[in-house]
Amino acid sequence: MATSVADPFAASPLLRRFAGATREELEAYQLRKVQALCARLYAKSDFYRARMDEGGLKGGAVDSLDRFAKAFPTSAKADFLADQQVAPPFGTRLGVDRGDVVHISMTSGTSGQGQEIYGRTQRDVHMLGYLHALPWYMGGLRQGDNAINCVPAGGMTTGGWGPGEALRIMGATGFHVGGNTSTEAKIDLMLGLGGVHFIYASTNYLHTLTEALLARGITPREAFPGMHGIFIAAEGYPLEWAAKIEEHWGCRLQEGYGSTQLNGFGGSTGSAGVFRANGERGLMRLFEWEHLVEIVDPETGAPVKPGEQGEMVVTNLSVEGSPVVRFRTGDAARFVPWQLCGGGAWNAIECGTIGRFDDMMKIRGNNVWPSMFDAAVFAHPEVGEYKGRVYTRDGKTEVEVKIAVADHHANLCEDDRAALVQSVRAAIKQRSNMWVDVCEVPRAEFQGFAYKARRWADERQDGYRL
Amino acid sequence: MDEDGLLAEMLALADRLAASDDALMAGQYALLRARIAALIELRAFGADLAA
Repeated sequence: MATSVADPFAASPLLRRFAGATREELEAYQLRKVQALCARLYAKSDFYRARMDEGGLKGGAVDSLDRFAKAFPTSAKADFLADQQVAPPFGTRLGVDRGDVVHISMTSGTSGQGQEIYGRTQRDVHMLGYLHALPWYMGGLRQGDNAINCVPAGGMTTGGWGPGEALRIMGATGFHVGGNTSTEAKIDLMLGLGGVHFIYASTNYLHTLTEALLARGITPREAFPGMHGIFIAAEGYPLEWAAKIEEHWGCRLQEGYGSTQLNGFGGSTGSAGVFRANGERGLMRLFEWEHLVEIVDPETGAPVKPGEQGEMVVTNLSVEGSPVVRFRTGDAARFVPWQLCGGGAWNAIECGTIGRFDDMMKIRGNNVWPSMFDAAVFAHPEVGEYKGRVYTRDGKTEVEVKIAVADHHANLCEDDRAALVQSVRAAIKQRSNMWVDVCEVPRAEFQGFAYKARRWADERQDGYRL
Repeated sequence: MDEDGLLAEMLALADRLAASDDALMAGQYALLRARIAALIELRAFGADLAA
């Protein structure tokens, strides 16, 4: 790597304190936080008081983490939306007086069910910044850095405000280029800053930005030799792609898992990067003194075994305004217990493979996630973008994948393009156990993916219309 | 340096400022207090072990 920054643990006694705690100390701290949270919510929140009464937690008393996980009923998005309808705008979940709410965070509404709204106190807003700053510091962000935030800033989302708060409390200079400037304009700005040290972007947008730089004949590691780190979130990726990104940029790639319910990030690859020492996928270590994260079988609610994929159920331990207790995220992650993480007491989830249970597509009897296709397609560096479509033809389910060649590979000859299509098709078969139709289309067909890519369309119901 | 102790003292000072009856300053003092409270909160894990 061309650039390195001081080991974040060596440079922060506080971080060393967190890293040095034993599992017993961590769980004792979690229990104290859970007890305080439940006592406060029993007194303040009609929604959670009813939940605790339903689970038999009389007066909000909790005597162990095990009892908490077994007795406190989970909530889901639909429960929060129903609560908000009864008592708009915040429902009856607030843990503080209404007058102490100074900021709101709303979910994006991309699920189509509606938008949850969360009240935040002044302290919550600082914690929102901190829960972005913590993983970014571990990922290389330092005081005085020029930091490029490619996620649209402002508005009413957690992702809109967290990065700005984080960069400010870290003492970095934030350039919030997301959303309102074209990729070409972003590149022009970056080239004129006299140095770029840190980039935060969705997986998809980092791909777009890198591709655009290469298409202009710019090698990122040469144009930005002072990079301390790149941090991505939101979407899965193949390791081959991650290796290419690190090669192009000359710095480590880090990943975080975050959400509105967590008031920021709940875990990250820290400073370890997205590869393990043996070359396999890296780990996102969970910030378990800030959040209680359970990974459960979505059918039974029982904890999954090490190495298994499950649904993340999260409890935020520090939020005052609209706390989240045992919330079913719908996010699918592979659980790696702390004993298998190579040191430290924090549990982990595998990076690069976070999916959504509600994104799962049942195709010809196979359980298929878009992340499987992402991994197969983007293992080919010649591919710039793709779109998938599931549809019905003559009563049979078909899958079509359109790929576009990256601009910086525009000189591929016809034979190479045909070979690329066949290679992508074989890679999809290997990962999904399905043969699908793959074709190539012009790159211009996919303009407009900026933050979270929406690559898949399920049109099977259209096939049943008479 | 006893950062946790210093922050506790600062919180007590901020509490006194928050008692001000200046309406223009009230929210700003509340913000100052909240920032200190947040620093105490985010440092809390292991504070008893470090003491």
